[in-house]
Amino acid sequence: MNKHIKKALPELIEAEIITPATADKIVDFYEAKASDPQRRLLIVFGILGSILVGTGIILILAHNWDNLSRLSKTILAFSPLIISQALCGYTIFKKTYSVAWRESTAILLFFAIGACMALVSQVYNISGSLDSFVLTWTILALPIIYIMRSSMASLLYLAFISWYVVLDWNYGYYWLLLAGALPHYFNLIKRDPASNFLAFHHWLIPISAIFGVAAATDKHESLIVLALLSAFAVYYQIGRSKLFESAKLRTNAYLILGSLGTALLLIITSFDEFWSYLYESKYTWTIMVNSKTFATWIVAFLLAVVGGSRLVYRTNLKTVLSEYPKSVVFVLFSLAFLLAQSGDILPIIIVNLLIVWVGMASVITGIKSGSFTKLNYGLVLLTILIVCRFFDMDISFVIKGLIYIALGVTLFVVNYVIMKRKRSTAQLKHQ
Amino acid sequence: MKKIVIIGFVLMVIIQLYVPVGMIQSAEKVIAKGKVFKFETEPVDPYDPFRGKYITLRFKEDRFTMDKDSTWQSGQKVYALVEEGPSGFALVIDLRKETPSDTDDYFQAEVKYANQYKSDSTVLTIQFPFDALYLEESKAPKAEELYRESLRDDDKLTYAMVSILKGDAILTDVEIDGESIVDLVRKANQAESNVD
Repeated sequence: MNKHIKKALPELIEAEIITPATADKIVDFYEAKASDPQRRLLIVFGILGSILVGTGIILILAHNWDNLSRLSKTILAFSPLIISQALCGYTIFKKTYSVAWRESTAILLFFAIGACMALVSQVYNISGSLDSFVLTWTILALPIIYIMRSSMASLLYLAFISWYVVLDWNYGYYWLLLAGALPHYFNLIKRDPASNFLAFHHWLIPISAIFGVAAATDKHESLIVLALLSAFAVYYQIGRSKLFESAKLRTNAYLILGSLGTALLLIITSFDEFWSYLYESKYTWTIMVNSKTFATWIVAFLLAVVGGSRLVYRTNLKTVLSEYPKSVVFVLFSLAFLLAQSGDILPIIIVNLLIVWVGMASVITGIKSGSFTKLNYGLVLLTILIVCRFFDMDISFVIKGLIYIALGVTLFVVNYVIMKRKRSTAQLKHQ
Repeated sequence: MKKIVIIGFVLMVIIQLYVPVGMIQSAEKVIAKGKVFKFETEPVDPYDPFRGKYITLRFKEDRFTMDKDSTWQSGQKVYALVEEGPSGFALVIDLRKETPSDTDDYFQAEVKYANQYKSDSTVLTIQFPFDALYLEESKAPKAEELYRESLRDDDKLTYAMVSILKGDAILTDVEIDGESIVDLVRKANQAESNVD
């Protein structure tokens, strides 16, 4: 804290310019603002401590004392909740500017809600389902994020809604629950773009949303692949947007998830099983239209179209097609899906070509920009494609073995050549 | 700004207290005003990470043959109407899709399986909402042992005491031949420590 201000405070109080309470607030404000490593450590330990205390409370309460009367058990059930609420109240009034206080008390309250409900249902033998228990808990915990301005509560909330959607598969309100956490997320992006909390949110939100998309699977399982592929395209487009332009790869979860998700789905659907099953099940669009999966796909598809157009607008069509094919493959994949009604050969060819396209584009941009990550991503993708296709073919082990060796050598050689070239350009620059 | 935060905080505190208090209120109401039924049972001892140890009860009568109705599905909510049978134990006399208006003695359950294989009837297996009795950790295994023994012993009757009122059901105790399982465990533990 600025020493000059500290010295001036008693004088200001004496002169009745500020009240002693205001002086305290000023001290608190500057103490909270000081961003020394000690403070960061305090936040980390505050959070860890609260999580431990919170889970400890749940375990102790789960112990269940049946020699206590119903009234004393009920009082015990409420004590952690009331104490945590009181601590949160104290934080709001006295420690508003302290991140460590806000985060720690918010986490305590988060766990205390669950503990209280669990103990009450234990006292009254309300067995209830785990999913409705988690849902009620999560909804009651949502306001903590905003009132305590707690990012850790937001992360816990995101983890809990993901858990919930896994427990209660096919739950449509998941998106409402997710929307509940978004204002805090957007606020973090705006106010604190460099924070670690935001980096965690960047990872947790897309992972959670993938559960949400997958949970829309109903009677038409194959359609979910379309929805997921469109969702991954949206992720990839977000990862390539202005927001993440200068971000490190490890914080650009959207790019990593979008890229890996697209590759994985393409590889899975490059086998003939997927398409022959689809062809044999003789699906018709009229049946599929009336399903939750279809609606989810439409929404994801439209979002991906908007995102794709924005990317084309920001760069140009040629760049998108040659460098970012992952942001547009969903369109051609949907076309393949449409064609699957009349046969399974054409879709398989399309998907295999899509993989070649994505792989080659990555290799070429990797070589051009000297990026080993891009280069190897492309090479590995192409290698997997070749390996998978040879699985399908009935050829001798010797030939299969030779092909695998050739692939391995190619991977090594290409990397070696690029590395050499990179070094020589670096040396040239040096000279 | 501060004012909004304070109002928000007060509202949050109220809602967070209201939900568990509401759970208690409705349970107390069922216990006070509901009718007590004895349900004959069959047990297992799992562990609920949030709520501690409990013994799971299996009910003897959980399968019901209904008139053929292919609209029954597993997971569906169902209202079970209860009556005291001639042996003194509860009997589920009817299963309905709509809330019954002619009686207060019914509870809400879930269809576990709907067996549609027969052409003239549908067999429904019901998941009872009162299937867990929570016990203190050290007592649960002993209670389960007693529960199992009593189930093997044909002369002993094991049953759950359940208060029922307009769709809600609260399990208040499990008894073996008229004695609470909690008291039986206490006695068994005392006898053991006396031997030691």
